Amino acid sequence: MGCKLSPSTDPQADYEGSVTPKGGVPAQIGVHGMAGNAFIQPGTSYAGQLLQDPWKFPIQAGIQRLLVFVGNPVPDDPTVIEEICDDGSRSTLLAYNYNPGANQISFTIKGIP
Amino acid sequence: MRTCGVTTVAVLVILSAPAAAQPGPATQRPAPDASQGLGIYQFAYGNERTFASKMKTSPHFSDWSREELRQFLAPGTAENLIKLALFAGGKSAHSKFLKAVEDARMDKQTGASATSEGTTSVVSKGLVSQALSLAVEEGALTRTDNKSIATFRGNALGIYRLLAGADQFPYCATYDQNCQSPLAERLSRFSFTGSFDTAPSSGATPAATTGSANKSVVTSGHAQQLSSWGFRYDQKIQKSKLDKQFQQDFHDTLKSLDGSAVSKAISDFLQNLDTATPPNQEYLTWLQDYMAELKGASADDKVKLADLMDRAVTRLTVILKKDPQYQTNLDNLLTKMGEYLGRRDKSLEPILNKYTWSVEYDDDRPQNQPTQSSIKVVFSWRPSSPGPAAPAGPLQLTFNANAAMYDHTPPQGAVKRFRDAQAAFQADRQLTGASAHIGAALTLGYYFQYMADNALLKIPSADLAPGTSIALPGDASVLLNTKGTIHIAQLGVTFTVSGTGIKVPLAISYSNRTELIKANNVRGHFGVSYDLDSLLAGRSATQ
Repeated sequence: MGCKLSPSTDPQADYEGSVTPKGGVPAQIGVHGMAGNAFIQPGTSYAGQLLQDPWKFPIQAGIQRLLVFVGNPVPDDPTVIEEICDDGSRSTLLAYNYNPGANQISFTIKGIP
Repeated sequence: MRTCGVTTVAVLVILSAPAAAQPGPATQRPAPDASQGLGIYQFAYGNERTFASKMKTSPHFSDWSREELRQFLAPGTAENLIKLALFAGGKSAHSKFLKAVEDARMDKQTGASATSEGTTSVVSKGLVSQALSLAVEEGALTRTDNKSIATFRGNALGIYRLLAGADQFPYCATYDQNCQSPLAERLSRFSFTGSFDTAPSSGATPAATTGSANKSVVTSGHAQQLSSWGFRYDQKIQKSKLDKQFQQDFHDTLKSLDGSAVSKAISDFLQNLDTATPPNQEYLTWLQDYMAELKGASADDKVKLADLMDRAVTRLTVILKKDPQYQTNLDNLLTKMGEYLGRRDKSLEPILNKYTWSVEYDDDRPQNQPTQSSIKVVFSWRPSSPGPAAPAGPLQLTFNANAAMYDHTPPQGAVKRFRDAQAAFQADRQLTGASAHIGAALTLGYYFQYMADNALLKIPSADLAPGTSIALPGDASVLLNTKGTIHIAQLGVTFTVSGTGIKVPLAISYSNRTELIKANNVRGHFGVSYDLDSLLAGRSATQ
């Protein structure tokens, strides 16, 4: 499938993946909603670095935060944050109800050298 | 005959409370008291809204995946972040957060309505401040005398929360109708006003019968301390969230909303918890302990779950406060998050509430005139979608229609009880973007009033009839040749200082006459208003 993130066994991390080598293919995230046109918003960051559309990031060593800001015009809409894998398939990171009053989701990612 | 008047400076002081429903911190007791019906959260911690569907379909947490349990407890995810920040920071934290959120909205009305003896606006705007607003204005549009009028505007929801001791300024996203309880949503539509004459004049009635003497008659005599009171109902007409055009507008409006500052603030606030290097063992132990406890809990047992979440956030706060940068990071988080959400709400306002309508009742008690009642209908409209180039939504149109009558039948049927009909139209155009430090809005207004009959004056007994030495035996009415129409045009600019709640309206108006004097009249209007949302929130933040 070419997905880079998998559930972690480390108690400090939600997901883990191999550190992206120099020149390697970064991980990519996406989002979709059921009724609403959900989208990733600016402010989304990984390891303290702001990301931009198409929301790709090279996995770094250690425990890093992936902070995703989501916009969705439909409150409480079932929304999915997902990894967009190399082959175009999507792997769910989190399925939840969208809360407009608190639109950020935080993941801890462990980068394995 | 043309007269010119330049009004003196007065100070508008406004209190207002934004409506919302995210509850305050749990303090030292179990979950926030949901019985008040004014908030949607039941637990002091836990992403209950984020996982609302999961909690309904799989109420036993033992059926949840590891990731779902972690995210239910994750301090950086969804509502947990603000719950943790507000619990840890207490009442001052909530005030600081809301101070950052509250932002001046273009269609907020904080002053007296057009027929008041002192106003800078020809129309009543579509939405009113949500708790209390106090405005003192100079400059009359349809009255002959200039007054310093202090107007209080109160909102039923804000007053209820103030009296009930509940958090007065909880936050809800402006487009989140699911956030407020039905009671809160209904209360937020009702507001009331009371206007007080802060500089009542008194003096003997002059002797003359010319137009200028009429003015003297009006401005002398006994003033009413309470110059008017009223109440109002507001109704927003929002677009369907499923509407394709609304969704596209929503995306276009928010796709470039800058979140860099709040993103850094969140990372700084949590860096010593879940991404600490070396790992924060206290936090990891907390996480493991509460994931284990959660597995033995059920969403159906709200009492047990509330107690569990209360203990979880209490213990997590202790861990959090061990960070030497805790207070700095907390203050920064509250400010940046509040600013971000407030900017978002302001950006969305033009595409959400395309139409608002209101019904207002006012009882006016003008000096030396019989008391009057009026019914007004207000309609407010933003005709165009802003697009990404104009995120503030530049144009707003407001229309008023009003009918007034005397509270009591005029003596001896001298004039009709129906006093006048009014109509007003105003266009406001935002000249600057949402991020400008000094905002400016241009206003063009037109006001029309039809006086169905001559106006009445009331002269208390023992005073002299104008132009004579005849003592009047009792309350008497002086009839003036004032039947007919009044036209007023006004051009103005309102400056707003971002982040301070200060607004400075400047306007010039031309009228063909006033109610009591048939002469052209040009007036300048100047006011300063201060939104006491910021003051109240800021005062609490410094306690």
